[in-house]
Amino acid sequence: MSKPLSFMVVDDSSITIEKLSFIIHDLGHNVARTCSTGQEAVDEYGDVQPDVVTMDITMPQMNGIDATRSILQKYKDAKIIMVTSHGQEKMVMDAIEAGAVGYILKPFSREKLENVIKEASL
Amino acid sequence: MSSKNGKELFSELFDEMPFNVYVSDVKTFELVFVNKQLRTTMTNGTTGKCYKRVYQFEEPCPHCPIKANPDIPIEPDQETIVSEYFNELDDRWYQLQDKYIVWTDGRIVKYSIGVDITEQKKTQNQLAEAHAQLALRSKHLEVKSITDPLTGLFNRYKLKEILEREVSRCMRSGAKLSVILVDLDHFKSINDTFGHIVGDKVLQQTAEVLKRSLRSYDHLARWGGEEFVVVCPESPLLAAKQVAEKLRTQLLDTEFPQLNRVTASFGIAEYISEESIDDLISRADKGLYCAKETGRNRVVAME
Repeated sequence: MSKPLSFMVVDDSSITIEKLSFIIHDLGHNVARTCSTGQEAVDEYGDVQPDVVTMDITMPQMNGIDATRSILQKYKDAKIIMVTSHGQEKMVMDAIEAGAVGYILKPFSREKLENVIKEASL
Repeated sequence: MSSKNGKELFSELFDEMPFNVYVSDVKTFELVFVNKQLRTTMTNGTTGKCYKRVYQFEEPCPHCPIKANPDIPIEPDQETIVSEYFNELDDRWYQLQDKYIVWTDGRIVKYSIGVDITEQKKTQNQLAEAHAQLALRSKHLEVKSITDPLTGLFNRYKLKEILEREVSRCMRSGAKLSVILVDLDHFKSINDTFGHIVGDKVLQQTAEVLKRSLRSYDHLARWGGEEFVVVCPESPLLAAKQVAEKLRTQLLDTEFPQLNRVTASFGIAEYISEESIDDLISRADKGLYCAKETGRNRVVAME
C-alpha cells in the first residue's frame, strides 16, 4: 500500500461519516477532520490541509459542489472525491467541472474507495 | 356478513405486500399504520412520529415529498409522487410512492410505499460512475495535451491556440497585442556545470517567478529549451516593456540554490495588423537576439 493519507470527511449524515471513517481506517489511512456542512469544510480546509476530502453533494449551508469550487479556488492542489447518492449526468459533470478528482455513488464500499484513490493517483 | 372496518381491510391488503408501507397523519406526523414488512425492521416500536420511527431523523425528513403543513389546503386526490431515496440506515435504494388519502376516521393522511430498487440502481450507478471516470480521464488528457510537463506551464501547442485567438480578437477590436520572448542567459553552462537536474530546477523556478510576476490577463507558455513566451493582450509595446522589465528584475532578485543568480534576456514585438503569427514571433526574436548581443539581462522592444 502507498503512504497513509489524511482525510477530511464531509457529510451531513453521521451514519455516512461513521461508515466512511471505518473504511478509511481499514485502508490504512486516517481521518483528520469531519464536517457536516459545505461551509464548515470551506472554513476548516486551510487549517487541516488534508491529503484527500470526501464530499457529499446535498448538504445544508452550501452544497458539496460549491464547497469544492470554493476550496479549489484557494487551494489549487486540493484532492476532492465526491461521495453522493446523485448519479444524474448533470450532477456528475458539474462536480468534475468544479474540480473533483473522483466520483463515488452510494452505497460505497472499501473497493470503490480504494479504486477511486488509485485512479486519482493520490 | 362479516363487518370488517376500513382499517382492517387496509391492514389485510398492505400486510401481504412485499414492500414497506406506512401511513402517517399529515398534520402531526404520527404513524397510524405500518405494514408487516416494515414492522419487522422497526426496533423502537411502531407508534410515534414517522420521521423518527421509520427514518431515525430528529426532524421531518429532508427528502419527504409531502411536507406536513396544516396551512396548506390538501387535495386528497392528487397524483402519487414518485421519488428515489438512498437509505443510509440499511444502505439500500428505495423508490418511494407518496400520496394523500382520507383515512378511515376522516383525517387526511399520507401513505408511503417504499420499494427496494437496490439491484436495479446498481447497474444505473455503475454506468454513472463509469461515465464520471471517463469524463475525469478525458479532462486529465486534455490538461496533459496543453501542459509542459516540466514546468506545468502551457506548451507550444496551447500557445499557438492562444495567439490565434488573441490575434483575431485584436483584428476585430483594434486593441493592441504584444508578445515577449524570454530566454535564460548562459543556460547551457548551468547545465554543463551543475548537471541537468539543477538545470531543470532552474527552469521550474523561473516558471514560478514569471507566473507570479505577470498580470492576471497575461498568458505564459514554455516555448522549448530555456525559452518562454508571454502573450500580453490589451498591451501596446510600452506596456509590454514594463511587464518585461518587471520580469527581469524579479528574476534578478530571486535566489536560486547553488547559483548566484539567474538572468534572462527579453525581446518584445507589438502585433502589426495583417502580419502572421510567425512574423510577430520572429520580430520579437530579433529583439531577443539584440538583447543577447548587447550584453544580456536586458529588454529590447522592436519598434
